[in-house]
Amino acid sequence: MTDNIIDINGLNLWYGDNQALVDVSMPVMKNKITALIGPSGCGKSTLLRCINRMNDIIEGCRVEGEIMFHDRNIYSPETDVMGLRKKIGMIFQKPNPFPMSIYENVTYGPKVHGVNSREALDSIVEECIRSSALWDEVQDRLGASAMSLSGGQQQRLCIARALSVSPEVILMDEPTSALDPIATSKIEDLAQELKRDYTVVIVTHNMQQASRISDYTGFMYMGKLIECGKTEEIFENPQEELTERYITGRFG
Amino acid sequence: MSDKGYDEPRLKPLRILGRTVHHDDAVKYALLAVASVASVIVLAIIGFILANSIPAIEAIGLREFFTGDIWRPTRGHFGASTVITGTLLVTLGAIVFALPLGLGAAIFISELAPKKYREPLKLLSEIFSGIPSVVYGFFGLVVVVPFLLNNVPGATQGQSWLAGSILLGIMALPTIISVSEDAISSVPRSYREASLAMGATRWQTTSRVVVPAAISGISAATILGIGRAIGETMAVMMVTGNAPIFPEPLSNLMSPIRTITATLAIEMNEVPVGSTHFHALFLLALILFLVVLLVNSLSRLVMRRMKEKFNPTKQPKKRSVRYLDAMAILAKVFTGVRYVVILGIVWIIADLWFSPSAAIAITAAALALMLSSRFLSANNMQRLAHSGLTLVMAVVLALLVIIVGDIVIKGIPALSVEFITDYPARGGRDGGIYPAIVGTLKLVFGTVLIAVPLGVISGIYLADYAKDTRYTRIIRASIDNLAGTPSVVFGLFGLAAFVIYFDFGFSLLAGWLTLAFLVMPVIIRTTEEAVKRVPSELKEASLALGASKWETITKVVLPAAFPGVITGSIISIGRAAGETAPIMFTAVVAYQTRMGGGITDPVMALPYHLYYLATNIPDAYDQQYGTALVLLLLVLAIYASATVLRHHYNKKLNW
Ligand SMILES: Nc1ncnc2c1ncn2[C@@H]1O[C@H](COP(=O)(O)OP(=O)(O)OP(=O)(O)O)[C@@H](O)[C@H]1O
Ligand SMILES: [Mg+2]
Repeated sequence: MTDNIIDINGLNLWYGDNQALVDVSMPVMKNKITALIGPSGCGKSTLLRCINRMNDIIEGCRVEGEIMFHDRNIYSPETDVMGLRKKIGMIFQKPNPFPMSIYENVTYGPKVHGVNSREALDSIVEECIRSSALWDEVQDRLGASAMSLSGGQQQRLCIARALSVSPEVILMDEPTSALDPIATSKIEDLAQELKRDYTVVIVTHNMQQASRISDYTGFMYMGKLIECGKTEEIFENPQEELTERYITGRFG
Repeated sequence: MSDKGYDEPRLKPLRILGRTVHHDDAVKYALLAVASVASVIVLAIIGFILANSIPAIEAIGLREFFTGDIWRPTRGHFGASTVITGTLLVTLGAIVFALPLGLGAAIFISELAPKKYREPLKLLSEIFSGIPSVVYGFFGLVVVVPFLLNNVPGATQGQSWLAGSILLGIMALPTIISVSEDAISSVPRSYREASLAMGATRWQTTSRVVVPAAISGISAATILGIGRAIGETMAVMMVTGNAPIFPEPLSNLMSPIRTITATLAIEMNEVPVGSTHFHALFLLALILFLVVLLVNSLSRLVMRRMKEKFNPTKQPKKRSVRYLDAMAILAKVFTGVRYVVILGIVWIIADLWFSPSAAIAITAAALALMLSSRFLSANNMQRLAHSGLTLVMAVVLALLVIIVGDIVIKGIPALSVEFITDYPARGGRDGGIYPAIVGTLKLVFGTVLIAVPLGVISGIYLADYAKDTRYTRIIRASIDNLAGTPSVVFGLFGLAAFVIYFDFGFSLLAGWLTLAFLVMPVIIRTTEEAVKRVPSELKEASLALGASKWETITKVVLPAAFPGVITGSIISIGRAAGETAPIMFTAVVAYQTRMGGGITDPVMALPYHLYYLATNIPDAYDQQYGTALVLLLLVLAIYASATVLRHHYNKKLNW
């Protein structure tokens, strides 16, 4: 039994005068992986960043419409944005660990949210690094700089870091595009693992990836959500011609 | 063109010393020769100063020199420990004053100010560095010193360690602000996003991620600020009282104090050439030079490593990982000790301003305040921190307004046509400053004539010809060192080399050469930068048409880089116009009622005239302010035109 954890309703977004999202509505199902696909510049990242209000930090960005999360509109004025981002974490395209030790990368979030006891932090570190399938590789060098890890390891560390504040939803913006195939497949396996406890929304340019790992898929084009639904249906029996042309690679 | 025009090389190879040298190679070696001038000067500075200090080492002994605490050269006492300590104390105080202000302003500009105010704020803080040091000294003498005397309880004199530290602190501000701001704003955006995306507040992101990530740059900024403060002469000399003693007790901020630079500036003009005293001063200069060299090399090292840092997808080298770990530890130590440092400062100042018992109470209150901040919610903490940063920025701007405003407001009544066009009278109490203006213009003119060609050619060589060999690294290091060398050391060098050794005497010529070497690094750097910014497609287009490298440079690259080159030259003019220490042992006299016309005659100059009036003729108030204003306007106008030019062309040439 699944239900909607997030409902996007009639979302419009402008960067200055330039409209980047046009009337987007879609649900995100709990404990599922939802993929967003579409050509470059169609607004995938923009939509993703709306879900935890990361667009707030961009000057000149304006949003209309609503995103319901636990039946509350996250764009209502009384939203606690910091609390929201704690619940909805994010993984970026390029691995971006802080230039601190592996351990400190994972304890950063809990500390920011007021966890200070050493035992609690130790156990968060172990749990999150295990969940991100990195524990075996780094357990004996948690004090080393995160910059000494490989790109794939760094990305898994970023996932551990995102898990450290116990989010419910994890947003991933092309998390594997800077990685080699082996590191990519590790992240994909990890995403499958994660959906038992978390809800995942992933932006990807890679159609195979979307069809391999996601349960639901949304296809976007020029700021509009053209179509969304179960991944098999989108890939095998798309309703819109645009979608079909995109997924079969006859685009342009 | 003839039929066989293609086959004959248009530019014939040259025959030099019986060998065939390709045209471009000949140009390259010629440029290299010019670029080496910087290294030659550094060697010459070291050589002249070393040669002149050795007799002092022999006569006094290093032990006595470093440990003796009586500096009374007329009686044969050459214990320099008091002046060395004085330099360290004034510098320490300056950094304690400048670091919180500078870092706070840098964080404000980079993280808090709305985008459209960032550039203007940076420009405003650059004005600090345009104000000549003698003007700071004058402001200190007429404003800061009396203020301290009237407001610090029990103070018997205002000329003090504290006055020196405040002024040096203000002078170190622009370096600290601009270098830290650079470091902070070059922390990748992705770090900020990662932190915010986890629900951290902006302030948590700034204080826990951004500032620690920029710690190398901030340390470099601090070290550079220290280098600047150690080498500063005129301002400190005018406000510290110059008594070669240890403060009693050592934390007594109101004690007069004397620095190495002040000792040089005060005594150099009065010693017999060749005496032990003369050589002892060179020994002091040598120490100063070496310390500043060390400090500047350290800051360069730190900066270089910083560049390797922000490249997350590339695995860093082992060495820089170790360095990163070291920096992380430094960041922690910094966070750890900052409370102790802050409380210490609060205590010292409260003790000075009120009484020991009040100091204990105030320090305890400060401690309580700090501890209670732990119980603030993240949002309130952010509000508190952001208000603090805004306050710091306001203080920095207020300092600027006060300094410039004081001089403008009190200087304007002194200005008149006669003031500009008349000779001084009655030792400077009356009359105008005509010969000082003309003297400054003459000094600047010759300086530019020498420095610009040398600087531009060296800059071109470094940008377009220099490969990364050991030799070019030596040249670059020399230029960096030259840029960091205290101006008073240039003055001593000018005295030893041009006035005495080459026997030019106290003369315009000796002043030109000294100032030219002082400003050359600025021109070299701006030229190099400007040339490097010319897009390589442009160069390739020219080369592809068969132009030689030299033709490409003169016909394509230089015209494109021209604004940058001009900007550098203008900045060097401003610098030359405002400097005092380098000319006071080489070219200037205090008073002239008639100007000599030749290049072997000495001249008057605005900065030195201001120094002379301020320190020797205290009641010539109008004359002092008038001179300060003319000098300030002249220098700021020069810098302003450089800035305008730079902005204008940056907009226009948007490669
Ligand atoms: N910070 C910004 N300021 C102004 N415009 C922006 C900004 N970020 C994105 N845009 C514009 O919004 C539109 C959507 O961009 P977005 O990054 O969401 O696309 P995307 O689908 O993620 O593309 P890609 O696959 O290349 O990452 C583009 O036209 C882009 O130029
Ligand atoms: Mg994107």
